[in-house]
This record gives sequence, C-alpha cells and structure tokens, in this order.
Amino acid sequence: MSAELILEVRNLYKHFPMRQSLLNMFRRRRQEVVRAVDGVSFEIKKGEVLALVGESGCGKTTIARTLIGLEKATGGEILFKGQGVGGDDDTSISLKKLRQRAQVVFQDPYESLNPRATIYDIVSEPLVVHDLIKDDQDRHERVKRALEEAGLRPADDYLLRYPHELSGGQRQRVVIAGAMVLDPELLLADEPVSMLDVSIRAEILNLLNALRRSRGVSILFITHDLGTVGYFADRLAVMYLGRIVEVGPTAEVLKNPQHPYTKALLSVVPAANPKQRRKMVILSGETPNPINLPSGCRFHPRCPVAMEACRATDPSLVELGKGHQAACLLAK
Amino acid sequence: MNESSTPFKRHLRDFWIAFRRNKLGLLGGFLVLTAIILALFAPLLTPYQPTEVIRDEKGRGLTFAPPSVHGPLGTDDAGRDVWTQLIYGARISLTVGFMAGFIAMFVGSLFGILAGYFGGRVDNLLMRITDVLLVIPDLPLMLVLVATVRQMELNISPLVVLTAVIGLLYWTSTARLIRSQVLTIKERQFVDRARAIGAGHMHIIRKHILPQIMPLIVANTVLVLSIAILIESGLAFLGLGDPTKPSWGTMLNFAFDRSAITNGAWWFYLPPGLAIVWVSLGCVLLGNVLEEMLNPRLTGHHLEDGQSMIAVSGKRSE
Amino acid sequence: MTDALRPGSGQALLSARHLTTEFHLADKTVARALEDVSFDVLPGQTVGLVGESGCGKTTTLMSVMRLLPSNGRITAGNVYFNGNDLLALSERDMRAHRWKDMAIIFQGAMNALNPVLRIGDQIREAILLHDLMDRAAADRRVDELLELVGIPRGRRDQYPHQYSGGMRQRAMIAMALACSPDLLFADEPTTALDVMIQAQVLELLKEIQKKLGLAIVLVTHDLGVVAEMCDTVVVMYGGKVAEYGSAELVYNQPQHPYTQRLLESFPDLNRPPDSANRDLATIPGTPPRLNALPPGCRFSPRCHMSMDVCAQVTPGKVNVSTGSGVLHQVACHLLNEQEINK
Ligand SMILES: Nc1ncnc2c1ncn2[C@@H]1O[C@H](COP(=O)(O)OP(=O)(O)OP(=O)(O)O)[C@@H](O)[C@H]1O
Ligand SMILES: Nc1ncnc2c1ncn2[C@@H]1O[C@H](COP(=O)(O)OP(=O)(O)OP(=O)(O)O)[C@@H](O)[C@H]1O
Ligand code: SF4
Ligand SMILES: [Mg+2]
Ligand SMILES: [Mg+2]
Repeated sequence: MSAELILEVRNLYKHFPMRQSLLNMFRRRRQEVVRAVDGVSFEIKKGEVLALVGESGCGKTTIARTLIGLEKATGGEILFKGQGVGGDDDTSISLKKLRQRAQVVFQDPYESLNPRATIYDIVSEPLVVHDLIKDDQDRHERVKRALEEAGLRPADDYLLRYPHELSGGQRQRVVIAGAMVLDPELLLADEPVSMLDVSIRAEILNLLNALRRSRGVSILFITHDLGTVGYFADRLAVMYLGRIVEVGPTAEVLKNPQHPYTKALLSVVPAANPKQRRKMVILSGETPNPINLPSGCRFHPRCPVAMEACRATDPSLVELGKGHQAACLLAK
Repeated sequence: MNESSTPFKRHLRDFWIAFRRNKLGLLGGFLVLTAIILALFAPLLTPYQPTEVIRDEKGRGLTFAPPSVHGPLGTDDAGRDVWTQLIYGARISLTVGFMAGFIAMFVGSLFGILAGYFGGRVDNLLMRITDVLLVIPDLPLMLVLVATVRQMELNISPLVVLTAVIGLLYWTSTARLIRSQVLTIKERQFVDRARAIGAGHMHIIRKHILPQIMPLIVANTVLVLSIAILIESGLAFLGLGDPTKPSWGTMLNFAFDRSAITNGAWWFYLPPGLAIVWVSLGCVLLGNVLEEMLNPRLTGHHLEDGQSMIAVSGKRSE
Repeated sequence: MTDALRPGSGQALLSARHLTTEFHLADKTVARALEDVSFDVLPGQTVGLVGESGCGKTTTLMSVMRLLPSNGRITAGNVYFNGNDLLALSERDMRAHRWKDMAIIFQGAMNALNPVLRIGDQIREAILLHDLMDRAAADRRVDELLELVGIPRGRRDQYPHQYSGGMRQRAMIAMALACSPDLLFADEPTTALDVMIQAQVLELLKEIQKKLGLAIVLVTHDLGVVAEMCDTVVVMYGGKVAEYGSAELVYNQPQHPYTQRLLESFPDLNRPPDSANRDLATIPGTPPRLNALPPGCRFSPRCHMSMDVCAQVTPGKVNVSTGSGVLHQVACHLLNEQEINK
C-alpha cells in the first residue's frame, strides 16, 4: 500500500530568538534561542492519522503553527503533496492555497471563536475568504451541511447563535465544521479534546474518526494524552525537547516501546481500573527549557537507563522494522 | 437573507434592557439628547433670529434686559435675545464639537489599529508621531495654529479651521488606547484561526479586530466629544470663533468683552456656561457607562478557572 | 469495610449525610446543586469524587468545608467530623476545624498564587493566618513543608512565575498541609498538568498520605486518576450520588448506566480497541440544568436503559449485594433491592 503522501516534513527547525538584555548585547554574547523545534522529519499519507505526543513545551504546537505558516520555519522543508509552500517556482503552492487545503483545529474552543460573530458567520468565513460561494443560497446550504456533519443538528438552531451560548463540546464542533467546510485534505488538530469533559471527549474523537472515514482527510493529531491515541491514530510519533524520539505504527509503539522516554510516558498513563495499577516510571523534574540543550542525547539527564556514552553521542532515529524507529543508543 | 439582522436586533435589545437600569447612563443620555433636540428645533422654539435686535415700544434696542423684562433669558448688550442665541449657539457648539470629535476618533482609531495590528516599523513610526503630539501642550498649539491660519486670510470659515485643528490634534490618547486593545486582541486564538484559514489583513481587521474594539470606540467617541466641545468653547472664548455664528464659547467671549459681569447681567453669561457643563457632563456620564457596559465580557473555562472559588475562600475563611 | 454509612459509627473521619445545597440565582430561581449526598471518609483512606463538569463536585467540598459563596445554602443534611456535627457549629468553631482538621486545595488555585510574593512567604503567611506559631517557628515550618513536598530549599525565595505548573501545585499542597490536617480535599489537583507531572503530583500525594496517615478526598473528572488513587469512589450526576462503593467494584462491576457509559467512553490505553477505528461509547445529550431538573431519575433523559418508571419516580439508594459485604450502592431503578434504611 503505497498511498499518496499528503505531507512531508524534512528537518524542520523553528528557533525563537530570546529577548536579549542590553548588558549581554554589550558583552557581545551570542544571541540565545529557544529551540522549540529542532530537526523534525515525518510524513502523513492520505487518509492517515498521525498522533504527535509529548510533554508540555516539547514543541507540538509550534510544529502545527509552522506547518500552516503562522510561524516562519528557521530551517527545513515542508512539502504539501510534493509541492513546496510559498516558493517562487511553479512547483510550489501559495500559502493561501495551502490554507485552503489544510485546516487547523486549536486546543481551546473557548478562545478560537470570535465572540462577536454568529455561528453562521464563523462557519462560512473560510468560504468567503477563499471566494468559493456562488450566492447566499449556496452559502447557507454549505454551512448547514458542515454543521450537520459535525453533529450539530438541526443546523438551523445554531446558525444565529453566538459562541458564548454554546457548550465547550458544541464550540469544538463548530470549529471542526468551520475547518471541514472547505473539504481539506489535511487537518491539524492541536489537542482538540484536552479542554473538554470526558464524556464529550469521546464524542469529538468519534467525530474526527468519522470524518476521516467518510472524507478520507489526513489528520495530524496532537495530544499529551496517550490514552486517546490508541483509539484512532494509525501511527504515533513521540516528541521530546523539539525532536521526534520514537515513531511507528500505533499498536507497535504502544505494545513494544523502544525509547526509554516512550516507556516512561506509557507507564504513567493511569488505567481506568484499580486492578491494573502498575509500577510507574516517573521521570523526575520537568522538561528542561529548550534553550540550553544537554549534550549528547537530549534525554540523558532524565533517562532512567542512561549510560556513559549517552552524554557524548546524540542518537538519531534508527529503523527497527515495519517503520518503527527510535532515537536511543539502546535501541537495536 | 434577512437573518443577519436578527442577532443585531437581539444585541440592541439586550443592550437597551441593561442600559435602562443604569441611572447615571440614563441621566447622561438625557442631558445630551435635550441639547441635540434644542439645537435641531431651534427655529421652532423662538420667534427671533439670533442677530435680531429686540426693540421696545419706542423702537429703542432693549439692552441688558433681565429675564423679568424680556423672554426667558433676557437680552444682551446689543439687545439680542439670549435664549435665541443659546439654542442657535448649540447648533454651532455641537456641530464643531461633534465633527471635531469624530475626526479625532477616526484618526485615533486608524492610527491605533494600524500600529497595534501591524506592529514593528509601522507601530514605531505611528507611535513616535503620537508621542510628539502628546508632549506638545494642546491648547497653546491650537491657539497658534488657529491664529496662523486666520492670518493667512485663506477665506476659510473660522469654524472649519477650529474643527480641523481640534480634530487633528486631539486623537493621541484614543490612538494609544485603541492600540493597546488591538495588541491583546491580535494575540487571541480566533485571530490565529482567521489567519490559518487564509484570511488577509483587511479581512481580519474588519471582521475580527473592529467588532471587538467597536464598543471601546463608541464609548471613547462620546468622551472625546465632550472634550472637543470644551476646547471649542475655550478657543471661542479667547476670540477664535466665528463672530457671525456665535457658539456658546463666543457668547461667553461677548459677555466678557461687554462687561456683562460688572453689569450684573448674569442671564448673559450663566446660560452658555451652564450649557457647556450640561453637555460635557452628559457626554462624560454616557461615555463612562457605555464603556463599562460594552466592555467585552471575560469568559473563562470551567476546568481552569478557580478564581471565583478563591475569592470565596478569601472572603469566608479568616 | 461493612456498611459504614451510619453516623457516629466511630469509624469514619468524615461522614456527609443527605447533604442538600441550593444556590439562589440572579433570575430569582433556585438551583439545587446537591441533593441527598451521603458518603464516608475513613482515616487514611482516599475517596474519589467523579462526574462531569457541573455535577456538584466542588459544591460538595465547599458545603462540607462551609465555604459556600453567599448565594449558597445548605438546606438539609449533616456533616460529621469525628462524630461532631459541623453544620451545627458556630462560624468561629468551624474555623478551628478548617485547616487544622481538614484542608483544601482549591480548584485552579495554583494559577491564583499572588504573583508578587515569594512562594515561601506565601506559605508562611498562610501559616501565620491560623495563629498557630510565631514567625520564627513558622519559618522553620515552611522549610519542613517544602522538603515534604519536594521543593528544593533554594527555590523558597522564588516567585510563582518562576515555578512550573507542577511546582506550583506542590506549593499548594505544602500550604494545605501547613496545619497538619487529618483530611485533605484536593479539587482537580492535576487537571491542567500533563501526564508526567500529573504522575509526580499523584505520587507525592500518595507518599504524603503514607507518611502522615492523611485521608484524601480527590475531586477529578479523570476516571484514570481515580482508579489510580482511590479506595472508594463516589460517582455524581446532576447533584446526586449515582453510584458509591469500593473502587474495585465500581470499576469492574458498574451497576449504574451512567457509570457504565462513563467508563466505556474513557479512552483507555490499556484497553486498546480490538479492531482499529472502533468508536468510543458516548453519552448523548447534556447534563441537566439545575434550575430545571427532569422529574424522576435525573439521568433518565440520557439513559440508554431508561424505563417508564424512571421518568416518574426518583430512584432510592440500593445496596448491591456482593456477598462479601463490601460497600457498593447504586441509585437506579434497574436494581430493585430493599432500600437502605435511612
Ligand atoms: N512565540 C514564542 N516565542 C518564544 N518561545 C516560544 C514561542 N512559542 C513557543 N515557544 C517555546 O517553544 C517551546 C515549545 O512550545 P509549544 O507551544 O510548541 O509546546 P507544546 O508541545 O505545544 O506544549 P503544550 O503541551 O504545553 O501545548 C516552549 O518552550 C515554548 O516556551
Ligand atoms: N455560586 C454559584 N451560584 C449559582 N450556581 C452555582 C454556584 N456555584 C456553582 N453553581 C452551580 O452548581 C453546579 C455544581 O457546580 P460545581 O462547581 O460544584 O461543579 P463541579 O462538579 O465542581 O464542576 P467542574 O468539574 O466544572 O469543577 C453547577 O451547575 C454550577 O453552575
Ligand atoms: S540514548 Fe541513553 S539517555 Fe537517551 S534515551 Fe537512550 S538510554 Fe536514555
Ligand atoms: Mg501546545
Ligand atoms: Mg469543580
């Protein structure tokens, strides 16, 4: 099955310059940077769901924002269906075109809707922006269809409401309707359920899953909750400090994690059953800030099985079979 | 489709329901509205012309006649009806004040939005201009400008000059206010979302930034109006108004010049003075209440917000 | 652990009995946020309070602590702490119980630390507020507490913005432990934290519990956290207790349709789907509005098992007979055993 590649990311870097103090400028210190994304490569096939997991601050949101052009990449290549984005040559597509073919769902449904716009305006906005509507009739139809597909039925009840009149789950459905109204090929979903109640979480996950099946849309599913991953991601990429440290088919990675970080992350997901409590591998401390990266393997200061070699050698991803890769000196 | 009018009507109704409860706001609205009505219907409210001299039976000009002798507010030194001058003066004062206020608001909002939204160099440039204007004292500068223009004998009505000078100088505080508001709105996620669906700058400013700051602009306009009216009065009092079209400030100027005070002709100088206070007080009350009411409501999130609970514990425990 | 639901049975540290709390709303209606809520907390035990947003978890804690906002009233029920009825106490006597006997970590409090005061000073102020010791002793106490919750001494003089979420939550725990309470209420202590930090905080709570013999009431909407931490679970729906019992039974033999669905809708890593792309179970509809509650069982409009009687009669609490006598109660018409004597 060599399905078409929707998205290819090669060696993506995004460094944010730190604000420099006058004193340091005077001393001619090197400008410090936050290495939010530090050499990330991955690809997403048509109709595939790739989950991106990792602790807070590891760079997940920055990747999504860079992909859609909200941040300018410091280095690397982003190919959408084989085409570069925003370049001058004929083989690249414009940023605006990309923003039609790829859509974002942000984390916070309370913040991502304009409080002074009606649901009708919000959902039809992408159509207006890309000049895709024939007339009011057409606009109305398409908004209704999108809302109903997102599970807001009957759509007419919602058209004239304002976001503050909806619950969190309903708002996230509106966001999804607004994204799907353009019939995109790629959906970047940045923690779409982490701010929602448990019972609503399941509904939104099911909705995304249904859209994937009915529309064949590819999804980059960003989360820090590994529990949700098993349910609908085809492949799983684990991030640590701006790098992907392990990637592979979801079932494979969950069953047979190779990177110590993945193992730790999996072990701390609480099971919904007191009988299944097990030993957790709790890493001490927090994700260090990505300004002064450790030498060698960037995980070694927190790694429970680190060796002497880990201080010196920065491991790169090695293939372990079936597309399962891990960046650890112990992974063979 | 006429659907889009419905939410707007709903907004308006909600607004009116809330506004009706607010005593100060109602008072402010009343003050401003009465002034506007008097100005609009001036010809219907008096039999005289503002320049017309009132004569007694013998045909002599009725100078400095107190209210007991003539009309509701007596006559001035030249025998003209003060009430008539007051309501016709309202037309001038309000027109100059409103026009100047709107110009200031427009320039200020434009500068504020552009500076806040685009940031960087645009911001720097616009804010430096603002700073320069901010440090120069307003009144002396306006005096100089108005006097200079008048010296040049360009055949422009002094009222137009007044309006333009006030309008083009008095927008700095508005610009700063709007800019800071835009700076926070632009960081909000729905603006990011708009960018991510491919919307251009104009679209974002029109559909996402403006609706959020519109209430602020409205409230601020009302406040700026009161200041514009005050400044106009001040400048006119100093003799920079149009003597052929007297505003309230000009009336005060006349009263002062013709020694109304030493003559004890209070009906000559009190009414325009009180009228100025009346309208600017009305604007200030209205503006403050509008600002309070239209401020975008803060909405939190249920899993995050503990603020209310904290406040409770702070209040109740110890 | 037999039926401990009798007041003053001597065993329970805290017992809430038939607790009913109402809020007076701005539109003059009354919202009954809690109705007939009963549960026990034994010494050294961890009790979990779970349910959807708005089901009354925080209100339960606030009622027990008597910290309700001014529009809230406890209209019925009792709260016993070591056999004393807390609701009968004067505000002054109640204050003596707060923090010394039972302390609370408020929902979201870690984001509400005073940004311009050093963490150590804030903890010291909290101690001094309770008039237990002088300044010097309080200073020593702060050091003890910080060590207890694993904050390095060097970070005592830092400000909240220099602390990460996990560290701030540790500071909140330290503050709650200031007066060595026997019972700790923790309202959504890990909700805003990611998994690794959540695991650290939960681990810390377990450790402290072991060290100090503390009883903990953990409020959360995360079923995984409850399963990980709690001995006993109270599942709440619409201000009432739907299911109450030992965690093992509630998780493995859930009897209330709400609990069943809630568990099925929880995406659990350890129960991966048999076939890929299987949908998660969901609970259609939304929780009831408190000032317009449905008649009968509050869950009936959303319940997949609901019968005619459900929309008419409010189900009473029923003991699920397990033979072993382990605590397990359900309020659902599907179980028709004898009602529990009140
Ligand atoms: N505009 C910015 N300027 C400077 N640093 C930034 C900026 N945006 C993000 N960062 C930093 O980059 C790192 C990665 O941030 P990012 O938001 O991508 O993390 P994340 O994985 O999405 O975390 P979370 O789970 O908390 O959402 C963080 O250390 C963050 O502080
Ligand atoms: N001060 C108040 N006035 C009126 N109603 C209130 C007040 N506080 C809470 N409520 C209502 O009581 C119900 C229970 O609220 P509570 O905060 O206890 O829920 P919760 O279970 O803690 O939810 P969450 O998970 O969102 O924290 C809610 O419907 C809420 O709207
Ligand atoms: S390379 Fe070493 S330090 Fe890095 S994860 Fe593997 S064992 Fe740990
Ligand atoms: Mg993020
Ligand atoms: Mg709560």
